[in-house]
Order: sequence, then structure tokens, then C-alpha cells
Amino acid sequence: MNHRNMWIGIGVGGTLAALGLGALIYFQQQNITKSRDEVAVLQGQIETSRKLIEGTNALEREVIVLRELSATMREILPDTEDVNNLVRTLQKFSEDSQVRISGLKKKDANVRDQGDFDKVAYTLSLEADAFEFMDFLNLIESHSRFMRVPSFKIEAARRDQFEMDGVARHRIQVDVETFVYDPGADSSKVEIEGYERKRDLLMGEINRRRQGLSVATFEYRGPRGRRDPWIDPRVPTGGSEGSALTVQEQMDIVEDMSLRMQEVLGLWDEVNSAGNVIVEMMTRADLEEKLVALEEDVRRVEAEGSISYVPSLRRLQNEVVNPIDGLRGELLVASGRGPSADTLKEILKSMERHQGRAEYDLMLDAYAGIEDRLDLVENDPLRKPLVERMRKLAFEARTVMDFENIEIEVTGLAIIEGEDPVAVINGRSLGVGDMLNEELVVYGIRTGEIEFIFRGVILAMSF
Amino acid sequence: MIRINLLPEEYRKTSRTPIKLMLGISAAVAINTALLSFLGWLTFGVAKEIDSEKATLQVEMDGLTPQVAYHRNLEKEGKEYDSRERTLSSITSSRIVWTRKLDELIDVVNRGDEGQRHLVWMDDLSVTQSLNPRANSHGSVRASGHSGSDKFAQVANFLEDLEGSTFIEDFYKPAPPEGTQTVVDEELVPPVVWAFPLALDLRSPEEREEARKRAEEAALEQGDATNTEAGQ
Repeated sequence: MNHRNMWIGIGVGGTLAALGLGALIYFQQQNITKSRDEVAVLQGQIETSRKLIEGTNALEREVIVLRELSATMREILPDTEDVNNLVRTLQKFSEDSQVRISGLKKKDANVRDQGDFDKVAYTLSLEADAFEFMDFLNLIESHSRFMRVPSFKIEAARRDQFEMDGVARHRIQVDVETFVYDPGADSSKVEIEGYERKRDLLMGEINRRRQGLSVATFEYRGPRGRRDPWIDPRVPTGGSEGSALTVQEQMDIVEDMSLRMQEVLGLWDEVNSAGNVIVEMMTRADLEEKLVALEEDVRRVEAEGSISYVPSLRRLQNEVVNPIDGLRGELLVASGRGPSADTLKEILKSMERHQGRAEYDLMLDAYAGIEDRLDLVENDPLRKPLVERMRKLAFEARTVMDFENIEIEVTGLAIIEGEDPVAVINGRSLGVGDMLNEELVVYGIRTGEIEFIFRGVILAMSF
Repeated sequence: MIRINLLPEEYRKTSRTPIKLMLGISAAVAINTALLSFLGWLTFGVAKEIDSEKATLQVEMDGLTPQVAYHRNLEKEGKEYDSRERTLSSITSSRIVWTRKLDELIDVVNRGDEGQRHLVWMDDLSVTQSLNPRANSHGSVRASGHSGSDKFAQVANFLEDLEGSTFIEDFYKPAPPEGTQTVVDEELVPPVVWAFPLALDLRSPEEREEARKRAEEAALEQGDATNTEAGQ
């Protein structure tokens, strides 16, 4: 081998070896760089993970709270079965509040509007007065399962309608919405170690958040003597004659009577469910006293024409007069052998009170309610004196009223000492003992007053 | 020309490895040795160290992974519940209890001292509540009202009572009073009636919440003041 070849051999060999080593170094560097990157990534991941898990405890607490709230959500929102029953629920509400549903239309809103919550909506058409509608609205808004009313319209009843029917039938359209809680495919619950203990420690927070989810409600306490704002409160000019009462005063009177009627009906229930005779008798006596007093006031109100506001008039009829008639009928059936001594005593007292106020027509009204049943008890030694007294009072009242209907015109009076006094009545000169007509005898003549005997009763006429 | 060395062997020049060759070989050996050493350092020094560090970190990461997975699962579960809670909260908090609002309105209508201050009734009522938080209007209450009096000032009295009531908490102030006198009916008392529009716009849920809080605070302060006065 000559030097030249040797040179070439050494040069090529050395270069190849150097290139090989260089390649190995390059690949090793690449590996090292890659490893360094991986280390950096790992370090980053570790750092991120550490930061992440620093919040695990807080997150764990949050999940526990939210899990517990999920149960509350299920309680607040209706489930599928509740929604199927929604129409039945609305029907029951309408019966309880006495609104008359005339239309029920499902709104096209049964789409997944709010995540896991499916909206179900209905539009109801109904007729009711303001307070019936508020009862209905209150039942919806205070229902244990969440419902809301996003809109409603009230169109007031026409004046002629409620004057004719006595009950205002406003036309109302109301939208009712609810949401069904359908969580769908829940991710499986993460197992939290010592869940019960941790939950117990978080009860304060859970309750606070439950409060935040709770649905605000309102305790509606009924009309409370207020007038319906969708009823024209003006009273007819003629209707207010003889009664200076405002609409509010008329409503208050009827409200009071309605409450008293309810109390009386409550007493009647107590009489029927009384455990022993003594309780029954005592309750019945109380009932009679209150019923007769109520009847007396009703008679007075009707006689005076105090109630001219149509809704109040109808309410008086429906909530007081009709129940009184019904109760009297029941009492009649229950008593069997005529009115009890308590009934007679109370009616007698009522007649006497009317007499004291010179309300003779009302005395006769009170008597008329019992007159046809007095024959049944007139032979009872206990009730006979009461019946006789009652008949006497009725006779006196009738006498006074008939007397008042007799036309008596006094045009002159002569009272001279030592002479019999003389009065010019209906153009005739009459003295004591003279008869004005077949039933009317002059009993006494005094300045400003003449006394007559009419059907055996002495009656004075002032002029 | 061919040259022939005729000198005897012992007189001839001895043949030695040329210095250039020696240098070339030495250089090649040196370079390759250096490269080999560097490769060795990289392989057994740097790479090993990094691998070791990586292994340590990996062990650490392996230890953290279950905790991270636990955290992620909790996050996932929490997000589902949280979204439901937010939705339900927005549904429930945006609800207006219209029974309360109507009750308050009826209170105001009935506070007119039977026409001394006002005698108001309505022909209709239209209530709408927008549940879209981005909507321009959050809802409204509209009504056609009547004031039974020849004094138009009674409409102003009614609106003043309305503004002073709890009813208005959820609404902006009503527009100033306006109206027209309708046909005089001498058969009814009062015979003169003014018709007026009632238009109220709902506040946003946030404003309603603030107004409610203010009202509660005011009620609380009033209660405190009453208690203090009672204490004195």
C-alpha cells in the first residue's frame, strides 16, 4: 500500500468515524431535548395538578352542598307525574276558589328551554270576580310545586251583567307555567369519603342555599271587606234614598253579617255534634240568641233599604238571608214539636227590641217567621206564656200599624177649664168618649196630643 | 527518466512513517476520541440524569393523577348541579307573586275614603312579564281606570297613593296623570267620571331585588326605631 492510499484510507476512515459519532451525538441530543421537554411538561403538569388539588376540599364541599340541593330541586319542581296531574290540580283550584274555567289550552312550550327543566305551559280562560281570581292565583302561586303566572288579562264584567246576576263575572285569561325537573343522564356520583360527616358539618351552608332556592309566596287573607276594583262602585241615585251609607259601609255591614252567619252555622254544627244534652242545650240557646239577633238586623237593613250596592245586596242574599232560611228549616225539622222555649224567648226579646224602637213592621216580620208553628206549643205549660206574650205583642204591633193607616186630621182643639175638652177631627167636633169610626173612640184630649182607644189599646197621637 | 539507487543497503536512507501521515492519523484519532467522549458524556451523564429526573417526576405525577381525576370528576358533577341550581334560582327569583301585587293594588284602590280622596275602578287589567333577561322591557301593567269624581285631582291622589304603596316597589314610577271626562250619568252617584290610563313598567329582576332589600332594611330600621321609642 502506498502512502497515497494510506492517506486516503485514514482520511476516509477518520471522517466516517467522526460522522458516525456526530450522528450519534445528534440523536442523543435530540433524545435529551425531548426528555427535557417531557420533564418540563411533567413539571408543568405537577404544578398544575398541585394547584388544582389545592381546591379539591372546597370543591368537595361545594359538590356535597349541591347534591343536597338537588333533593330540594326535586321537591320544588314537579315531576312527570305531577305534570300529568296539572290539569286535575287546576280543576281542583278552580273548584276551591269558585272560578269558572271556560277554556284550557296547552301552550306550545314543551321544549327543553332551561337545561334540565322542561317548561309546561297552559292558557286558561275563566270567569270570576276579583277575589275569586285572587284565591285561584294564590292557590297556583303557593302550590308546593313551583308554578308561575307570566301574564294575565282581566276584562271587567259589564255593569248590567253583575246587576242582573248579582255576581261579577270578569273575563280573565291567565297563563300558567311550570317546569319539570328531568336531570336526564346524570354523571355517576363521585364517592366522597366520609360524606355523611362532611355533610353534617355543612348543614348551615346547605340551609342557607336552600333558602336562596325557596319560592317566595304570599299569605292571601281574602277580600277583608274591600271592594272589587273591576266593579263600578257607583250606586243608582234612587237606590241611595233613605240610606246615606257609602259603598264601603254597605260592604262592611254585609261582611259583618256574613261573619255572624258563619258563626251561627258553626254553632249549629256544634249542636249536631254535641256530646251530651247539656252541651247541646247550651249551644242551642247561644245559637238561637245569635240567630235571632242576626235576623233582627237583617230585617232592619232590608226595611231601611240600607244596602243598594248590588254586589253587597247579592252577598247579603246568598251569604246571610238564604242560609238563615235554610237553617230555620233545619231547626224546624230538628225541633219536631214546634219551636223551643229558647227560640221563643229570643224572638220575643227581638220583638220587644223592635217595639222599643217603634219598628212595628219588623216586629210583625219577626213574628211571621214563627207564627204558623205556635199552635204546636201553645198547650205546653212552659212555652204557653211565651206564645201568649208573643201574640199579644204581634196584636199590638198590628194595631199600631192599622192605627197609623187611619187618616186622622186634627184641625181644632178647645180646652176650657171646667168644660169637657173638644177636638175637631176630620171636620167633626168630638169629645172624650165619642167614636171617630167603628173601632176608634176618643179617650183623652190634651194640648198637643189626643188619645184614642183602638181595638182595646190606648194609642196617643201627637200633632 | 528512471532513477536507480545503486548504493548498498547500509548506505541507503532508512524508510520511516511520514510525519504528515502521523499527524493525520493522530488528528483523526483525537477528533474521534473527543467525539466519543462527548457521546459518552451525553449518554451516561446528561441523558441518564434527565431520565432519572423524569422518572422521579413521573412517580410524583402518578401519585397526583388519582387526586386530579377525583378533582375532575367532582368538577364535572359540580358543574351539572351548579347549572341546575343557577337555572332554578333564576326561574324562582324572577317570579313575581301576582297575588301579592293584586292585593296591594286593591288596597290602594280601597284607600280612597269612599271618594273623599279618590274613588277608582278599572275596566280591565293587562299584566305581562318578560322572562328574557336581555329584553328591553321586563314587563308591564296596563289598565283603563275611572275616577268617580268631577275633580280630576283625585286621579293624582290615586297615583300618589300608588307611588307611596308597597305595590310600586317592583315598578318604575307611573306617568303623570292624564285623562278625559266621560259622559255625565245623572242616574248614578257620583254622576261625573274621569277616565284615565294606568301604565306601569316592571323593573329588572336585579332592581326588584335591590328595591326589596331596601324595603326590608327600611322596615327593619323602622322596627328598631319603634323598639327604641318603646324602650324609652
